[in-house]
Amino acid sequence: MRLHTPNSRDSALSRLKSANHWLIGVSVTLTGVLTAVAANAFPGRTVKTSGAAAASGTRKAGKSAGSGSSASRLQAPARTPQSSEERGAELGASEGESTTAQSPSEGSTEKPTETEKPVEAEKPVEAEKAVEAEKPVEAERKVETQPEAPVVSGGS
Amino acid sequence: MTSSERTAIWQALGTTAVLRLAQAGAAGSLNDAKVAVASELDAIDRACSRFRPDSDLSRCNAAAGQAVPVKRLLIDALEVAIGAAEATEGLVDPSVGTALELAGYACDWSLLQQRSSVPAAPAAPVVIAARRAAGWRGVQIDRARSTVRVPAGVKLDLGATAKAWAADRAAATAFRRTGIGALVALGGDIATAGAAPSGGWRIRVTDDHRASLSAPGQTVSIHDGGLATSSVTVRRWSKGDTEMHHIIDPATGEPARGAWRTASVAAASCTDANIASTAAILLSEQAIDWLAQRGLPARLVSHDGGVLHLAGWPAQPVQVAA
Repeated sequence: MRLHTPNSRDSALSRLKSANHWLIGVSVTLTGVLTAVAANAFPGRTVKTSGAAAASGTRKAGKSAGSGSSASRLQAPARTPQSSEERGAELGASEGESTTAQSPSEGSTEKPTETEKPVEAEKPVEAEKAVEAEKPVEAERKVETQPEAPVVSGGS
Repeated sequence: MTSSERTAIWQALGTTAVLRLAQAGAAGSLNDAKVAVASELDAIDRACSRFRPDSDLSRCNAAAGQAVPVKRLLIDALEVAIGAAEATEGLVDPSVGTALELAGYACDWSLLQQRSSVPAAPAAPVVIAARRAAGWRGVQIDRARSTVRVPAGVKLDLGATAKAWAADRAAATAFRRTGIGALVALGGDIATAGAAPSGGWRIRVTDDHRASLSAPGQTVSIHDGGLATSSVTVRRWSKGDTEMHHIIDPATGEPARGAWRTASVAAASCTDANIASTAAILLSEQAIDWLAQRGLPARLVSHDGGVLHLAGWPAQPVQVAA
């Protein structure tokens, strides 16, 4: 049987220690690299709000961010919108006779009116040509005679 | 510009600008407010436009990877955009500029409209690279030095927030200038400041802000804050055989293909409303819970025309046959 001297044992232990250090270093580096690769290859999104996650993103992106109202969360209006269809009908904004809107029913699904048909892709382009030429004149005339003509909010 | 006693209409930020006062003021007050608002909008355009090569934003995009000195206005706009990304967990992402360009939206909308189609999709590796490049968290804003550093490979686009933010600022400017409650609409993004007229500000919500008042939709009134509508029925173009639009899903780098064609949201500001309406388009069915949890009144229109009212948005009056 071969006898090990203290020196050879110390030398072997030293090699083992060195190998362990290498293994730990390589595994940590590999973990980091693989995490970065996976994060880039599979971008995802989180639907639920998570304060911790949002905060972690703020460091780089918003070193001086936080002044905007949207920095923390989105704020609801002081008063909810009210139905204004009756006067809209008077101005020709909707066809037919309208009844007064009931109190808002949260989450209620409404049967679309006949006029709520899907808009074709080409329609906005056509509408733009017509409206850009006519809208200012139309708006001016209505404001003079009908001061409460509604302002239009739509996609842009 | 078109003017009346209380309303001025002109072109700004590549869209239609409407300024309306709650009541007629002293002679010239509407014009004074309009001049102030137009000046503010012009300054925002010069700072934030992706299509003006001399804008601060274009300089930052061109020098991605380096800190670029910019005007305070762009820093303010960027903070709003980053705030939008934080508030939506990255859904409303200002770093989708490259993805928008790859989708074909690489020039001013007025020019893009004139083209029948843009070149077909680039090779997959290019798309994947652009997707990876999206990264609002890497944007560095140094307010003290007034510099912005966009990460290398990233291009910013502030289309999701800048117009609504501009409307908020413009309405506040008009109110300060006249002392009269003011509404400013920029391409359908509506902001108010000061006291509303009796009965509130009347707004016709529809798919396209250029539509006439008789277009399908709903008329509501608001008394404060803002109201914004996002829709995939506008700013559409063809790319090869594919129909494209301007609302990019940062998760895919491609136009959103969700459940809603149009989303309208009311909030404490036009900026918040527009962030929420854009997020609703991207969230698809999940938008219902998302909006309700935040108490944001909303009207969602599905592709087949179904209408959903959420969180206090008024129900549409029933049409009664004559």
